[in-house]
Amino acid sequence: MADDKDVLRDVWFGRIPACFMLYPDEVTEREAEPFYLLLPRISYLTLVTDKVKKHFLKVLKAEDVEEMWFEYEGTPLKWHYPIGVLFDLHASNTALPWSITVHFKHFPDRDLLRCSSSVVIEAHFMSTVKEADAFKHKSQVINDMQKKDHKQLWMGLQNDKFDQFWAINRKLMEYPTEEGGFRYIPFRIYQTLSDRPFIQKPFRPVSSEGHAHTLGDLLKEMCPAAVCQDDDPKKYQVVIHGIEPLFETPIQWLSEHLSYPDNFLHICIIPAPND
Amino acid sequence: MMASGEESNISSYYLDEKAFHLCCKLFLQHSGVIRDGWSWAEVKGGEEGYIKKTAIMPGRFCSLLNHNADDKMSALTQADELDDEAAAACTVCESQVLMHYEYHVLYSFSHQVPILYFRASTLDGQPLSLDEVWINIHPNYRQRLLQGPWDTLTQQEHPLLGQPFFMLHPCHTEELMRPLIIMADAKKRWSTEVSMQLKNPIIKLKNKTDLSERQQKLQEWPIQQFGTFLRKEECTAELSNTKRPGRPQKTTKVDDHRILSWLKKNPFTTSKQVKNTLEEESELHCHMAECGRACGGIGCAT
Repeated sequence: MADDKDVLRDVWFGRIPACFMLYPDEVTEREAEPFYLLLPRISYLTLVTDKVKKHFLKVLKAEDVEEMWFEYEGTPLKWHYPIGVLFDLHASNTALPWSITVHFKHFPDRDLLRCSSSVVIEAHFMSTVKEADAFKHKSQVINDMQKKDHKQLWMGLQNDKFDQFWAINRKLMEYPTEEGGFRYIPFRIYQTLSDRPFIQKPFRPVSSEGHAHTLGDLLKEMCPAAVCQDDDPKKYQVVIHGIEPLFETPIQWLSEHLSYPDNFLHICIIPAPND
Repeated sequence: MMASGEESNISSYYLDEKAFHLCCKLFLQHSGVIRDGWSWAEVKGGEEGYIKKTAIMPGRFCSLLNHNADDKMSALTQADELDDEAAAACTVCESQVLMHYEYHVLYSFSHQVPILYFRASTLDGQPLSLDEVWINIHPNYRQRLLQGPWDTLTQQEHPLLGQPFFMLHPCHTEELMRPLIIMADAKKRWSTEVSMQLKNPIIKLKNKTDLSERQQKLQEWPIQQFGTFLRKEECTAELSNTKRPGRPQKTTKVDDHRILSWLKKNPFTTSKQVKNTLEEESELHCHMAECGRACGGIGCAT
């Protein structure tokens, strides 16, 4: 049997092949070639697309360039969600490479957060990690860390250094053995057909009777529509990191192994493809 | 005794969702009485919701005249003796225009506190950027907030609407609220109200000119005693800071003045700092009196 630690590596090194194309209405001095890139699932679009920007700036006039943003089939892509979440939510079951449209004008201020520099991404990342630890440990672990530990988490993610990141992140994954898990599981459930961005509520890893809660238990409580009856045809897929974990999987195990670096378990509920 | 009193007050700074809803209800009732425009907003297909308020007031909108917002932000973040210079720079480029402000108070399940989200736009719908929001913050607060700009005020996704809003970070809520909660004696209605009073000047929730007489009074009186004033108002239906007969005064006028000036200088002054400084400055007073001062007289009256 493979070691559970291997799961962490597999999650960390998950990649999505993507093709970036300039929005056709952008005025260029000559034709813009598409740009291909392997995107790390766990990272953020604005953190890994410096090359994309450079590539397109070569054909754009400086005065036509405003803040770069991305769109997929008409949906502006929220850079503050991990790339894997964006792909699972909007582009699962479509042909690869994932084709993303790049814009340099008409920033959609009503839909997207501004991202002027990587400092903004760092702030967003750290505040999400803190929020996750508020669920897990009442913020005690993250607050006991030193500034340099926080920096190491961020640098690990930014520079794609698995060991550097996990040397610190393992502390955020600890819990008292007698309690059988975190205080609450930090999770977010995304649905494409919902007005609200995601569901996020306190959920305990262990029931009051002492047995481990599963992914199925979580879904039944938060989003019952996603759990179909035995004989019904499957309406939805429940996807984490591009896979459909079994509903019997303990939620604590998922939280420890399939969380993104921001320490949240991001769960996408998408319509099942009609074969 | 002091320590245990403080303990229970700290725990009352956290709310569960139920308590939040109850507080909102009370807050809205009160808002209805003083007609300051808060209302309840529900999210489609759920029990969750938030309290909201919109307001139109004049503000500075820089990008109309000056496109170097980046320069301004970096000038602002360089901080130390920025005030006069930055203010001067702003008066050159800013334009006073009417702005539309929208405030939402939501419950945060993770931090277990209410969180303030807001956004601002010009009347023709152009949203204010983070830089422009910073420019609209009173210089006294700006300097303090800029010591950690990214963990004070940032643009965030509204957790129920999915749209970009600005958020006052919850990690400062406790700092801000602790002295007041202690004053307000764990009565949550007061804490919410006092919280808004304190946050007002930071994010321009209230414009000075549209303050009611009541709020003007509150602004003039020592923040440390808000809780007392407000509770008294509930009993007597009158907002007044006159002394109750027969009750010993725990802080002198001079002390009140000092506490207020510290808070003005640094709104995050904690009760502990107040206590320590008062202790250092006046060793003449006996221990009991100090205890009384530190918690604003509440709980030590008998």
